[in-house]
Amino acid sequence: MSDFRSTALSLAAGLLIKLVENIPEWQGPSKSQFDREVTALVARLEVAESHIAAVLATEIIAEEVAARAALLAAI
Amino acid sequence: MSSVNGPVKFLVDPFHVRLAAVSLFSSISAIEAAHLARIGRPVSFVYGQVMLAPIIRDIAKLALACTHTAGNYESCEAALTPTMMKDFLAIQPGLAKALATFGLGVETLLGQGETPVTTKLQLTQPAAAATTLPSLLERLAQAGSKSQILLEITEGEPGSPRHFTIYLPGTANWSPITGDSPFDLTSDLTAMAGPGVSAPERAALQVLTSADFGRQQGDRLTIVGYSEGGLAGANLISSGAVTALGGSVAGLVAVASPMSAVRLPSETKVLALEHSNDPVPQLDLAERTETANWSTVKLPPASGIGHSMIGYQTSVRNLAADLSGYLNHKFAGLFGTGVATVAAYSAVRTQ
Repeated sequence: MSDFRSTALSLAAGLLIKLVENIPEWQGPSKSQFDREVTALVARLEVAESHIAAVLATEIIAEEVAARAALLAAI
Repeated sequence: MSSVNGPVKFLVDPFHVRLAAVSLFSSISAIEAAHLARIGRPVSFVYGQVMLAPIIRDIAKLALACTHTAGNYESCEAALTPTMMKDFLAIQPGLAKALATFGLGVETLLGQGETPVTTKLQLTQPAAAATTLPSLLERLAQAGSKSQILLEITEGEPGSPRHFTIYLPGTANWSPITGDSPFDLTSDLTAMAGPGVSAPERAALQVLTSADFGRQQGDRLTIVGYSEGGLAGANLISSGAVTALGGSVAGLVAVASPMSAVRLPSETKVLALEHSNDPVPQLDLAERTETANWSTVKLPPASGIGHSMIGYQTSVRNLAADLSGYLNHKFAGLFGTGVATVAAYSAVRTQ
């Protein structure tokens, strides 16, 4: 499941990056502005992805610890 | 389709710009898919919601700018200016509702969705009426501490109109699986999608009905809500459910609530309190400007993400004297007077 999560977010980032690289029929100041906005969005997405991954990891570890503590308590 | 303007080269094919818009929307779908995959992890899910919502909003904004640009080649540059942003602002609330409806569909599939709700009177006691903004928030915090609905009723001289104030707390259960509390993620999404359905609204109507609101001439109601409670309050007014009981609406005090997109009668007094760093009131993607009856007070940033009830109480207590005086004067009709009866109601979902 975690692979899917990261793949899907990376897919989104990949789509955005392709937008910057592969629109040959669009040049000029508006394209430059567009590129800047997309690049900034990709950067924000990457930051969000890393933060969410950290929170997710913490949540999973907390669940594991709680489960093991419950098991020990039961013993 | 190209033109040369001095040293700057323009080359625009509207088809490719539209294609860019489609790709941007596709990226939103990919982000949402990644986000929904975390639905079984409530903390990560909520954190992801907070982190990703503004990014999704900005991607949608850019996609719509592209669509606009493609249709208006000559005004290509202008499409990335505030004019375009104004167009987008007009449709943002619709986008938020669409996202909430989509989320509710997924949540209903996985977590059971909306259910019937019942309320029960727990305690009734005399107390001083909340006559200032800090005292309103104090009573609202009391409601939140036990996730109860509080109803304050003040009666003046015999025969004079009664003033009801209902306090609706914020979300108590963030799990996507529907539990006992009506103040949960399910009702968050339901309330965002539209008025008249969410469990807190139905619970509030039960409370008002059981207290005979609207049975006496001149009964007036002020709704005070925190976070989801404020949104539910706005929906109660918007749907006409309150006035259908026979009374009238004095107004709404919404603390940290994403309710700016709810359509309310222009004569309804509304005071919205929002910390400038609190993302929750922004979830509806709407902004309201100051009018004769509506004030949105942007409070200075508070600790954390700025959403705690304690933080709002502190901020309101620390309001500058002139602003506090202005608000207490402007919204004087929302407060009760004298001695009140305060009743506490529990509200639970019935499966």
